[in-house]
Amino acid sequence: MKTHKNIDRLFQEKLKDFEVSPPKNAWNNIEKRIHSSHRKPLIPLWFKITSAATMLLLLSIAGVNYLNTTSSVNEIDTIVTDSEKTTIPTTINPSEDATENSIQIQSSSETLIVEFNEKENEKVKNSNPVISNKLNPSKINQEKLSNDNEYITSTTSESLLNKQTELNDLEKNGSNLKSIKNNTTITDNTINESLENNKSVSEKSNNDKLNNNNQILTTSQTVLDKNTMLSGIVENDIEKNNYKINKELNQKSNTESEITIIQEESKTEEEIIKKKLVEELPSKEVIAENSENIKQKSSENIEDLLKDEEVKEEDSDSEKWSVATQFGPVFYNSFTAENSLLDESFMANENQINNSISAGIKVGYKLTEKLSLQSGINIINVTSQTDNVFIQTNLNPEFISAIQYDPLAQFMNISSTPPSSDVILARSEVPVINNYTFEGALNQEIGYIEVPLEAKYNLTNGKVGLNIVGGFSTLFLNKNSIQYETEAFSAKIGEANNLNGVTFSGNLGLDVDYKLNKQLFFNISPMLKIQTNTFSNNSGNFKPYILGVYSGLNYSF
Amino acid sequence: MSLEKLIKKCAQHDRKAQAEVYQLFSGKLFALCLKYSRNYHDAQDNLQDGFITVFKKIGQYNHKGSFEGWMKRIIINTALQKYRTKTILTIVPEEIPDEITVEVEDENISLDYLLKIIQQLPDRYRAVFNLYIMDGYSHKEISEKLEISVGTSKSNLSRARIILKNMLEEYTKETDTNIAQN
Repeated sequence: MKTHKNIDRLFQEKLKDFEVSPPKNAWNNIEKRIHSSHRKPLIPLWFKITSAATMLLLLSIAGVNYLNTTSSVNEIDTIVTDSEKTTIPTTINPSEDATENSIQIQSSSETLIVEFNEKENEKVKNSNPVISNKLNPSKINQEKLSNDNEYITSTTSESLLNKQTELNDLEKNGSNLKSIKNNTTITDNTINESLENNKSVSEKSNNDKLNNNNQILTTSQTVLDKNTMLSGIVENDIEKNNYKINKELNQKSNTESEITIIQEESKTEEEIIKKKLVEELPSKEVIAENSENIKQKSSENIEDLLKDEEVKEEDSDSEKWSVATQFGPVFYNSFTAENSLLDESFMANENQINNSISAGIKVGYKLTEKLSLQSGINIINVTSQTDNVFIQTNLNPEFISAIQYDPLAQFMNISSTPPSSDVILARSEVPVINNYTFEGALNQEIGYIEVPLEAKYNLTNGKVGLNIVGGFSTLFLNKNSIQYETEAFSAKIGEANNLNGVTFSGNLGLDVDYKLNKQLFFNISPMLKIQTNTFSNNSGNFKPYILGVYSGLNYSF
Repeated sequence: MSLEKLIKKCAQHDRKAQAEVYQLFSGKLFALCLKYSRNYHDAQDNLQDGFITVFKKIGQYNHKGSFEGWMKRIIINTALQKYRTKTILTIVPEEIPDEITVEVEDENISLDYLLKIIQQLPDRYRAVFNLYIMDGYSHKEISEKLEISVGTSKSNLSRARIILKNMLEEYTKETDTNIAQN
């Protein structure tokens, strides 16, 4: 049955509510993928805590190492200066060689005229500014360009003077050669010898210098990886020059042997060499320019690298540091029920430790997203009160071993039990005026400066962050006094001598922070700090801990 | 177990609940995938990817709209995402009449063939055709979903219709000749 159907309707009717069961492996694939993503191993809390605590020691060591490696920027600086130094000789030597070379070639010929000398001087003039610029790596600054100019003129004039003296020598040589020409047969051997000497010396010096140049260039090449192209060109040029010079030297030796026979031929040869040298000089300048380019580029590259590194450091430094204020109540107490900070004789007394306040500053450094290291400085003051203590002035008092008595308190007998009133004085003894007994309290004040070093591990992130904190503190005793206080009077007795000057505590706690904005957090941090090594002589069986609830504002930058 | 409970259990990554939800809806959703994909293999891929997204995001389902509709949207988006390409040239929309009728022999056209010709449509035409004809999206919604203009959506739909019509006519001709030969 054929019907005219709207194509939309046709598809809607046929395909609207059809179902096709998917292939069987589809569900297996889905299940695998869901549960692989959910099967993240759940790290138990105790593991996180212990790992945070154990990592602390490693981190503190790593921190010290980190501080030692901050000199890397300086190292890069030295590389910069090194590369500058290494490139300088390459620019100087070729042109020096050129002049030397030409001079030595000149020496073998009498036809070298003042004209040539003048040309040479011009060349030297032209090439010297480039050279002398290189000579002063320290004066590269444009501010000191004037100095450079002075230097240039001085060096050029110096070299000119040198050249003149050398030319004088050459003229002498030339006259020698003239005489040799006259007596060819006799002096043949001597001339050959001297010329060969000349040749070998110049060859050696040239080769040595060129080898040096090549070596220096290759070293500079390794420093300037990115400029391999340019340095390649320089190397090629130098190799070419090397080749040319060697060739010329060969030619020279040929001519030298021929000089003894026909002076005229040598003249033409020398002219050719002279021409070649004249041709050659510009290429030296090219080398100088190239190496200058290399130097500039290399310094640019290194600057770029330095900049990049700075940028990276800036990036990574963003909000790594944080500074926080810390303030909160501190409960200082003992794990033992019966205790005394001072002496076992007071253990039965009513000992009360007043809650105090701790305040300080905390500095944090973020090592990773999750882990940060924090340190700072806190002040803790603890006051304790021992009630029902009896005090009596006595010439022969019983001292409590844990108290370092002040001189004025030397005659105070402090005890937890009232002294017997019927003290019978021996006749020989000086009668004591007093025998009043006061009942009061013994107040002890202990203060510490606390320097914590803690690792903070972030458990949850977001507006409210939960962190676990573990670490230790070093506590420096800075307050230590004992007073006696009655309704009538109070007197300083001395200080406790059973307290160690430096003690430690193991710290563990939580840190909950609430993000106020990107940089500012409010945080509250309950911490338990177990103090060890508190007493040198713990006769009062006091096992101290500090329970503090610190809160503060945290600014990260 | 009610669907609501199932969904909640799925949110807690309960394997049984997940399997049950899959059992309940995979048939319909695979059919949907077949319509929106180039071929059977792609359809399976899209179904798998879509279901993974469903189970990942099931905690975000607010129990207000239909759960099936919510899943369908995810599956459709998964399929569309797969074939999404940035068009550099925008096709100038042309006016083509809405009503296209085709002479077909109702009973003869198999479901498989209809699916096949939909799958053979160019990706964009298939998407527009399915969204508009099968799933009731408006041209405006389609234009937003596919980041095209309303005009392009309309012209794509018309072109899809013409292609489908031509293919159906070819099919009926073939069947006619087959019948004649017999």
